[in-house]
Amino acid sequence: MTWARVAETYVEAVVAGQGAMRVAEVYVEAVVSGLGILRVAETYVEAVVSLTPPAGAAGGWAVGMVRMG
Amino acid sequence: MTLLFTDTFAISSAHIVAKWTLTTGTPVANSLPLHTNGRGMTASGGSACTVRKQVAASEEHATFIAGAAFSISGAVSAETPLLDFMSDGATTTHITVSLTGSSAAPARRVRVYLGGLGSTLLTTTPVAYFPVNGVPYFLEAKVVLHDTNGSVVVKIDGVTIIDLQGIDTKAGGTKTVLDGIRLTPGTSSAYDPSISDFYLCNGAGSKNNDFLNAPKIFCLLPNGNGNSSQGTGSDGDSTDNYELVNDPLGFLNTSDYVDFLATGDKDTYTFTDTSGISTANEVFGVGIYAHAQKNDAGARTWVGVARSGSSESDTAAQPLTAATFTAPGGIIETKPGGGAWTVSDLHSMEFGNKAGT
Repeated sequence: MTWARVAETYVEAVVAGQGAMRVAEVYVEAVVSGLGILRVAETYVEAVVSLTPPAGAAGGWAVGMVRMG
Repeated sequence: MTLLFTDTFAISSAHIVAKWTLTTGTPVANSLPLHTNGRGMTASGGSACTVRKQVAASEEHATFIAGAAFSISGAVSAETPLLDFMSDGATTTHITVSLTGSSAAPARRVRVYLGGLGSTLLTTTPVAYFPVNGVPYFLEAKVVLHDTNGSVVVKIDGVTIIDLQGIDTKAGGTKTVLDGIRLTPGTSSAYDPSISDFYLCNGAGSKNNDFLNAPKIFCLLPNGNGNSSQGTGSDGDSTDNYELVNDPLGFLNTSDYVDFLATGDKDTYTFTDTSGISTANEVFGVGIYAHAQKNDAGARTWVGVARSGSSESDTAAQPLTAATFTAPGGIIETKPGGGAWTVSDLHSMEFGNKAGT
């Protein structure tokens, strides 16, 4: 009987070449409306008033005088 | 899509080089406490440094809008280019927005040149800007490229300071559309100018096709597991993968990572929240970015994933390089599932990576 001698055997498999993906870092950059937060440390008004009553406002003075009295 | 690209320069110096094309010098991701995220880009050694970004062919457009937060230390005396609007593969400079040099802050004025810094001067602002050293000012410019009917509009902190209409904005070259932008950190001194919160839009579409008016750009990192955990971490399992891809800002470490073996495999993570801003503010868009590679020459792409509720959106697939980390990224301009998009929505969303074909 004839025999065969095989010194080595191997297959060559042809498969899809898609490799693995390696991710070392991931982050997002969120672009948002830049409308900032308003921080108020103090609030006040500066009222610029006349030293005399407006024309025709004599009644106002009269009321004030009544309250004072 | 019209919001094309963002960069807070917060991740690392190596990541800046991966995200931009380096022309000269050495950009540095530096600690800048007054800028958003406390970080931004400077340059090493006080030498000139320029980086440029060329957009994809499908993103080229006659109208570009670019902006960033710039701060000046006060040491620089030379005139500093801030934004260069380019074409022909980001080789022809059409419009340059610059800041005049001075050792005294009040003398700084904003200029616009045709053909690059020192070429044809189009205008100089009559008054000075950037009055306080070290404080970031948000400078934005909108350029329409045209031989006779072009325009340049410049804003600082959302207020128009230059408005040139019906002018020649095309300094030779070939293309009739813009395709690149260039930044110049540290022209004459190591910290002049420092740059953060960069964005680039084009004039296409109906969203983000004009000034964003001094937006805030937050760099957010993973802080928890999300809906999907299909990657395999460098620790050999798929548990708490977010801890392997969230190195602190400025300290990118590639010795911990997550591998994705099969097409469609993905991880999504919860992310840190914004701070110092109303949760009612509008979200213009989110850039999802990674520091990633593939393991050999076979096809494999990176896809960014955004998840809101049970709705997911993917970015366009981006190519990877075998055994070399690059910076793939993509922009999501609308909330997955639709509807108004606020900072409050952003805080409850997940983002992540997916292996593409």
